[in-house]
Parts: sequence; C-alpha cells; structure tokens
Amino acid sequence: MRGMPLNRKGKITIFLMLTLILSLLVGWGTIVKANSGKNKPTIALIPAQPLSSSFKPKQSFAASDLNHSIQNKKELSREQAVNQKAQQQLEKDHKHKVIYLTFDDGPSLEADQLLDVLDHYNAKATFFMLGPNMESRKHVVKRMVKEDFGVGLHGITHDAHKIYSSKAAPLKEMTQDQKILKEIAGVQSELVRLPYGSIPYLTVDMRSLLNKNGFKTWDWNIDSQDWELKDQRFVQNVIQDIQNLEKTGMAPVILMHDKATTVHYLPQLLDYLNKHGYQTKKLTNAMPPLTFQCEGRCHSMH
Amino acid sequence: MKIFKSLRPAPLLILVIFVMTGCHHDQKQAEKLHVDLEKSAQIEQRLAKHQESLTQNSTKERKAYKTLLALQIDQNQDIHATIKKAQHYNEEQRRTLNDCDKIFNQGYSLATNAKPLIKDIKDSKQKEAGLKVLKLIEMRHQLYHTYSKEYRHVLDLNDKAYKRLSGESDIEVKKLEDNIKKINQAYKNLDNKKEQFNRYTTQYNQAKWAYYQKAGLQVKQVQN
Repeated sequence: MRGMPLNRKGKITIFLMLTLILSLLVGWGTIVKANSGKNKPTIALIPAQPLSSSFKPKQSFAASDLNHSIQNKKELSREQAVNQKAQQQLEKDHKHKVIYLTFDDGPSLEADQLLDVLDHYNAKATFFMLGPNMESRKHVVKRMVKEDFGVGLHGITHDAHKIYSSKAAPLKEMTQDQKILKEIAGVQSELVRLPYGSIPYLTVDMRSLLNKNGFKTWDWNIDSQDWELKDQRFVQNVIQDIQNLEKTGMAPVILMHDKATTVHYLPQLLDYLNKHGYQTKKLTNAMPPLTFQCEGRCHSMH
Repeated sequence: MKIFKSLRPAPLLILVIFVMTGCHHDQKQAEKLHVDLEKSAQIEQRLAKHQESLTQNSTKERKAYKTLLALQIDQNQDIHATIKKAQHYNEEQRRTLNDCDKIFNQGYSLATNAKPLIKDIKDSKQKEAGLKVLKLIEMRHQLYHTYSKEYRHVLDLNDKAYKRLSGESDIEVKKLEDNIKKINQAYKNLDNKKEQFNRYTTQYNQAKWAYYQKAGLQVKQVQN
C-alpha cells in the first residue's frame, strides 16, 4: 500500500468518508449544543436599578407668614424709633410754646377765607389736601405755597373702602396726590395724612410701603372734633385739650378741617393762642412724623 | 504519502473544529460575564431602599420648611425647633446619599470586571453586543456621579437656607429668596438627570439581555 497511488475510485471513497465524518462531527456538535442548552440551568438577569427619588419645589419665603411677621416687626420698630424722635421734637417745641395747626380735606370753597384769617393772625398752618379739590382750586394751592403754609397730601377718594382696599392703595392715592400738588404748585411734599387717621385701617404693610416710598404719615395729638360738633364748641374742645397736653410737656398737633364752620370760629381759637403766647408753625418734610402706633390695633378693612 | 495528498478537504475540517471551539470559548466568557454583571445588579438592588429613604427625608424636610414659613417671628422656640428638624432631615439625606454612592461604586467596580472579558470575545456580533453593555455601564456611572454631585449641591443650598433662616429678624429676604430659587432649579436639574439615568438603565438592561441571548445563554428576568 505504501507509495501506491490511489485510483479515482479510492479518491472518491476517501472524500466521501471525510464528508461523512465531518457531517457527523457537525451534527454531533449541534446536538450536544442543543442538549447542553436544554439541560443548562436558566441564568438570571437582575435588572439594574433606576433612581426613584423625587423632589417638589420649595415655597417662596418672601410670600410667607414668617417673612410677613418679620417685616411687620421691623416696620413697627422703625415706626417706634421715628415716633420717639417725633416726641422729642414736640417736647422741644413745647418749651417754645409751638403749636401746629392742620386742616384736612381742602382746599374747600372757604380755603381763601381760611388763609385770610390765618394771615390776619400771622399764623402758620399745614393743609392736607385732596387731589380733586386741589385741581378744582389751583389758585388757593399756589397761594398756600406762596404764603409759606405747609402743604401735605390727603389722597384722592377720601373713601375708606377705596384708600384702604389693598396694601398698595394708600401709596397709590398719595403718589397721585403728590403728583397733582407738584404740577400745580411745583413743590414735592412727603407729608401725608390718611383719611380718618392711620388707626385702624392703615396696616403695617401699608405703613411700610408708604415709608419705603419716602412718605411721612402724620396723625395728631388733639382732635378738634370740628367735623362732628359743627359749631363753636370745637374751639372750647381744642383749648381744653391744649391745656391738658401742657401737662405732658408736648407741643400740640391739632386736627381741624377746611370747612365753613371751622373757618367761621377759627378766630376765637387764634385769639386764645395769641393771648397765651403760642407760636404757630408749619410741618415740614424734615420733621419726624407723629404717627399713631399700631400696638395691635391696625387691621385690614377686609 | 499519496494518501495525504488526497486529504485536501482536511483544512475545512480543522476550520469547523476551530469555529466550534471558538463558540465554546465565547459562551464561557459570557457565563463569567454574567456572574459579574448580575452580582453588580444584585448589589445595586440595595439602592432602591436608599432611594426611598432619600425621598422620605426630602419630603419631611420640605414639610418642616413649610411649617416654618407658617410661623410668626415671635414663635422663637418653634422656629428653632423646626429649623433643627429640617437640618436633621437634610443631614439624613446626606448620609443616605453617601451610602448610595458606596453601593453604586461597588456595583460599578464589579461590572467593570467585564471589560477584559468582552475584549476577549471572538464572535463579532457578541462582541458588539458586549461593547454596548460596557458603554452603557460607563454612561450610567458618569451620570450617577453627576446626579450625586447635584444632590449634594441641593443639600448645601438647603443648609445655607436654614442658616439664613436662623438669623430671624436679620434675615436678608432677597438672598434667601435667591437661595430658594437656586434650590428649586437644582431640583429640576436633579429630576432631569434622574430621568436620563433611568433611560440609560433601561437601555443597559436591554443591552445585557441582548448580549446574553447572542451568547446563547438562556435568560430569565428576575423581578426587582
């Protein structure tokens, strides 16, 4: 056999044998693989973990009750400090027998006459005026400024339901009023008096806004009650209060109204003041304002 | 000698045997790979509980903040107690986040054992599937760390906010408000990162499944 060449038949036989062996091998391999797949224990796929933490946004601090109470506390402290200064100023004024006359709601039809009376007594006073009234009687406003009276702001509507309707409402009215006064008389007044006074409807928020915008809120320490008494009794009322206030060592800031009966009986009061050596002065932007302190009494109208 | 000359189809036989041996080698690789990847996944399963704890403490911290905002400045003691509570929940989150990092890193380090095994795969389709798994492991790893970093940033901002709130009447509202805005923005960023991470996780789980299938392994998904 050695070295003996294969004939064609032999070659075919060998080729067929190899093909057969190969087929057997491949077939066996496939079967083994298939069987091994069947018998192999199933492997586990443990899914990787997602992140599940979740977050919700935090509320604004500015709009919170806590911030509101902080701002209120700050505003009240500020107002208290200013009020102390105002008291000190009024104590100094008292030593010089100073009196501050103030007239709200004007200028009325009697405003010219009121100025005449004051001029006659060489008295100074401050007028807290309503925007529409100033627009109706511009000449009086100009006269007040020209004659060196004090001019201040009393808002636009004089309606408590409007001027205290929102946190920004008093500021809005006073800003508008300030603009009217400036347009008419060319003066910038920071003096404001709230209709019916700053207690109870001028809330701490409103006070803070007015202050931040440079306004100085003036109340009074003597209420003439001229708006209620409507006759000469208000004069006696004021004189009585001046005498009472003397004991506290404070200069009086008197609330009156620019109206006919007040103008009519005002000379009686001015006579008294002259006779007792009082000197009248006007309020100015530079003075620390005498403002009613909230002390838990301020609340919203709503 | 003539007989050997006649055995010209032999190389074909050798090739078939070689291919069969190669298949067997890849399957072995896949089995090894499976062990590491599934161990890694098993470790990661502990994350779920920690994630739940993060959410719970974050919710408690937010509730404490809400309580704080409803107080009045003269309620001094309540303010201090609530701030302390909120800070505690914040600290709890920090601790849990540290644990999450450890777990994730442990899982990642096991998963990266797959790198040399995948490089060694002979079958091109299996290799391609394996490389996809590898790529997603890296993508998840990177994103998790960005997420964790952002979370720490939120916790730092919260700490800052509570320190500011401890100042009571000296609180600088504008600065505190900016602080809160930054926190809320960071929460949004965190949510975006979480969603992206979860998309990668889904892709990763699918890629693993696809790879095991290609490697001829019978796979059964285990529920979380």
